[in-house]
Amino acid sequence: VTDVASPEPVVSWLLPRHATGAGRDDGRAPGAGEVYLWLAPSVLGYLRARGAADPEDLLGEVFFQVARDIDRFRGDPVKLRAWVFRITRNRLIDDARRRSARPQSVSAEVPEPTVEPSAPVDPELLDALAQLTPAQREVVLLRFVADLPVAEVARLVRRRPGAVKAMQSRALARLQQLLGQPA
Amino acid sequence: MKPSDDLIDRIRTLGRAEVPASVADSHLTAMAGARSRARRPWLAAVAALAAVVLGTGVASATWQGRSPSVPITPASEAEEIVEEEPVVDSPDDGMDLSDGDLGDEGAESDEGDEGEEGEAPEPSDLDPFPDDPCRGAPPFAGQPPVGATDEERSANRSAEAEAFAAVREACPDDEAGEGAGPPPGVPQGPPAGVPQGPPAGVPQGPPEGTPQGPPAGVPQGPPAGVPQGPPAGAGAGGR
Repeated sequence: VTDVASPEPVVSWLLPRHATGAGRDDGRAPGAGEVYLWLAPSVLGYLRARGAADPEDLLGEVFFQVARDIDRFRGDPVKLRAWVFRITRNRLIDDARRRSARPQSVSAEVPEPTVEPSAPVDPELLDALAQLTPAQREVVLLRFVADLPVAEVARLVRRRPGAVKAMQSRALARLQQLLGQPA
Repeated sequence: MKPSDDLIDRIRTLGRAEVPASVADSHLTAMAGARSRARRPWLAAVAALAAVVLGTGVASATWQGRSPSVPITPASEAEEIVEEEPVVDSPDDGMDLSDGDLGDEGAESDEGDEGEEGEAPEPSDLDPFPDDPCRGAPPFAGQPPVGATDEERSANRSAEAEAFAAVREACPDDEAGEGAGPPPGVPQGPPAGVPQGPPAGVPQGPPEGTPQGPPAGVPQGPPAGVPQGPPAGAGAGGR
């Protein structure tokens, strides 16, 4: 079950348990490979929606740290999800700092792409999200892409839950306006 | 179903991104390596502890003014050296630690000071004046008596002792005085400047600073300041 190299067998039973908030039958914390299968799609979607330059590479960094520190984690699946997204936000900030500190240079040698670029999902929605304020966009993504409850979002963005709810409401109204949907 | 619900479902779709298979494989492989390393925290702990201990040993040797350029000394050896240094009164105090002899020498010195049995002390350790027959220990001290039998050895040792005593008797008093006189603390007579009289505690008359003259009620007492030297046990100021 914990074999990281062949994760497929765990998918069938792992996701329902985490989706319902229940722990494992043996009481053991999930392995890093299991967490990857569970959360990698939402982390990758979050990174893309945040406009990360290389979301797949950052995804690898995030779960490398998860694999390194998963044995020290204590908490329920909601806390585990919040912990993974806290790491994701920190890696995103680090990446932005690295890119701003490193001048972009044009190289004559273009490296061969190791993976095929993933097709953007719903570019219209991504454009609308990009027009929100950073705080509004962050709240919307953490609430609906990361699927975190209001309390965890408030803890991550260091705001009160009431402020998070108000920000979420304004962000959704703005998105409906931008996407041409009726309010 | 509210319009916002459709929007929320649309946003949630972003979180169901498909991770390319090749990307997932590379990530999972890297995670397996990170996990195997993270499961050996004792190795990192041992390395950190060794670094701290070795650093402490080198720092202690450096603090004592020793050369820190020696190959890294194990902490146990360094602590032994530091602890034994104060009792080693050796002219080789500045010697290099690299040969590791100093700690052993210090240990032997401690054993000699404590009277370790089984080793005959060197004559130089006992007699500070080996060339002066009038001072110090006899030359045969610490030496086994010469002779084939017990009687011969006893006779030879007696002859050596008599010869030494004769030499000592011929020594000048001032040189032999340190060891020839009575032991310190034995009274030899009153020191110069101390008036003779009865033992201390026997009343002698008016103490120093008392107005001269006989004490009140004693009309014929001796003049003050004149030593009387009454016999022991006589009343002071009496006839």
